[in-house]
Amino acid sequence: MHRATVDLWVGVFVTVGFLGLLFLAFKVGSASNFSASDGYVVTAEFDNIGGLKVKAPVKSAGVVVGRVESIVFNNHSLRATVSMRIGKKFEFPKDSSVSVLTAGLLGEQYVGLDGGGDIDLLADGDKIVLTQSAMVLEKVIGQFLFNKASESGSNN
Amino acid sequence: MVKSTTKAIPIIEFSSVSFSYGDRRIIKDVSISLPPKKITAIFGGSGTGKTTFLRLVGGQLNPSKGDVFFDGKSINRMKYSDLYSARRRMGMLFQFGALFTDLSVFDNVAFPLREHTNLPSRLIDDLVKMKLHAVGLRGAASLKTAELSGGMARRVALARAIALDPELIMYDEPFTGLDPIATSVIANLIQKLNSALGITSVLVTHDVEVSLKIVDHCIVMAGGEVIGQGSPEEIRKSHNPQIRQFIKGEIDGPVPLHYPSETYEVDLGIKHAG
Amino acid sequence: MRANAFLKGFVAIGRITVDGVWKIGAGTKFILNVISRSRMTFQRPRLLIDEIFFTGTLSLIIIIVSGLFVGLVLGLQGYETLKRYGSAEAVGTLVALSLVRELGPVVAALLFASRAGSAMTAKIGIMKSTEQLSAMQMMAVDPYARVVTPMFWGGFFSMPLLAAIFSAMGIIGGYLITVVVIGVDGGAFWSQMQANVDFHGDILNGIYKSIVFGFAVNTISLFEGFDCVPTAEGVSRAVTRTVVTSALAILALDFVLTAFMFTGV
Repeated sequence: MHRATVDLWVGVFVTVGFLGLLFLAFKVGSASNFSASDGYVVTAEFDNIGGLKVKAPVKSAGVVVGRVESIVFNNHSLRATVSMRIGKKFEFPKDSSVSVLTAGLLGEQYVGLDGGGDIDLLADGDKIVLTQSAMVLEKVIGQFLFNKASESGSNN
Repeated sequence: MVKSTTKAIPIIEFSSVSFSYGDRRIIKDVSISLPPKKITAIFGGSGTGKTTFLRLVGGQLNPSKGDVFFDGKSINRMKYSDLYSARRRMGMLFQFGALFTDLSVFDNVAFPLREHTNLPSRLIDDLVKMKLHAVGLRGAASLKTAELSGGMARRVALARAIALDPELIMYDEPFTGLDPIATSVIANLIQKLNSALGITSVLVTHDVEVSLKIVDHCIVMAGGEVIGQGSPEEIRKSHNPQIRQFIKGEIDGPVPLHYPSETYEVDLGIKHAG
Repeated sequence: MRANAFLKGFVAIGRITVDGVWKIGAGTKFILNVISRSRMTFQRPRLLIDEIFFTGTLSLIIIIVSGLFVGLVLGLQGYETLKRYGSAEAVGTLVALSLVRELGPVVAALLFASRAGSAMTAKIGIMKSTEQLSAMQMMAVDPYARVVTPMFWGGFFSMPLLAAIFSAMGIIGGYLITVVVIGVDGGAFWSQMQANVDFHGDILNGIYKSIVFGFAVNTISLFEGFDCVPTAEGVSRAVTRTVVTSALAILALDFVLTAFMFTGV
């Protein structure tokens, strides 16, 4: 085959290959939001994280703003310490609160971040104090039954 | 045994060389030298270590004992880089040409030039045409190797072997599988190149009749050993029964028809081995 | 007689073990040899371009077509299953994750082994059996540096690109069947995918996988070619061994890599 033809086809192949990579990076994945080293880390302690996993999204107002980086058990407080990496371009007040939520009734669990009113912003290494634990279905049902029982008790 | 006919400093010299594949000894304590600028033929039946001989010269195999000298230096003791520069001074014609099948005739001949020189493509063009002209195939430059006949392929390979103007050229069975016309063409070329370029030539062959017409010196091998050497006339007149058997092509003689084995009766289970 | 059969069994196991160990050792030495002679390949990009053509461009069609069909099937099957749980929009996530993490690198590598790997083995094997490699040596040209090493790098660079093309085509195939044909909401298809496919965790790991697979397939193909018995039969056996060994190596490596990459703790 002619040199120029080989060159042309190799050019086509390499171009298509890189288009494929770009397609995967920007159209399929979420390279644009944040990367593993980009952004700042904040921690929070929860009584109960339910089924929260490493890499679960951190959402604010429904938008993914970060991911859970690690979950460790704190021996002193007997609570779970969750560290989250928040994208660099997202800013939150210092008195923001976090809660472990579930997407839909049976969906994956994620961390919800609600902004507060402070003027100071969260920075790398900060700890969020206001936390709300995961809703554990057994406890909720148990509480519901207990309330019903006491309701009917007071009615009598 | 017949005496050698030349006195000049040899370009290739074997000093008590042995070579074995595992337990099988292919070459046993061979000491020979090839006269420069002459055509030497090495005769021997199939499996007598003729091709091994060429591979030892080219440094593709190393002797298990002894030394192979090329222009006074031991090939088997050379550093890698020295071996490669020694090989640039050799050309080799393989049995079936060994042309690069994915390249055209032109690119095959140009291959060694492009690999070893930085000549401009115009000059390479001219050189390749000259080499192809020498073998009478200038018109075939644009053909693919698959379109060549056996004889033509060997001529192209010859043009490739002489591309870098070697001092030594080795022919591995140059006449095998060729028709009589192609055989004479190749024989004629070997002679012409030898005299025109002053190259030392070695033929490894079992084709006695054609070779005896063109060579200056003969070495006859059997069972990995040299059993005689001399000029073609001397070989023709030799009284050594082994040489006579080989030259005349008799079926059985000192070179046995049967591969060494237990006696026939033992093999068939009629008698038990002693 | 039975003791004899047992003995034969042990002999067979012994031989397989010895052969296997020998191959691993010889293969490692071979590939180190190949890589250590890379200078010529990068000094003469021409050689590399020719091999990228040979391994990459010539595999392009089979990769595009297979990727498209795998995506179509994934989309169809995924939709049928997810529909029952009322989450048909998640089909984009399903298609993308399966392709990017597993099917893209693995199936592209399997296709690469049978298209380019077998061709590499055959090419080297034929060059060996017709004494072309020997002839090259006698012309003082190192056949490793001139022939084998460029092939290795050509395949090495082609493999991740082919895997990326395969995954991209698969996702396009999934989009075509679920969004264009079945009528799943296109916006949800893409947004769910983007929310759940992580660039580092999923896409980059998939690319790393394909790089490892490319290395393995190239090593196996070139070694089998170089190691073959130099006859027509020997070459054809070597080609068969290339495809079988590569397939096993890809699947085994995939398991190991997946265990390392995706068991997120």
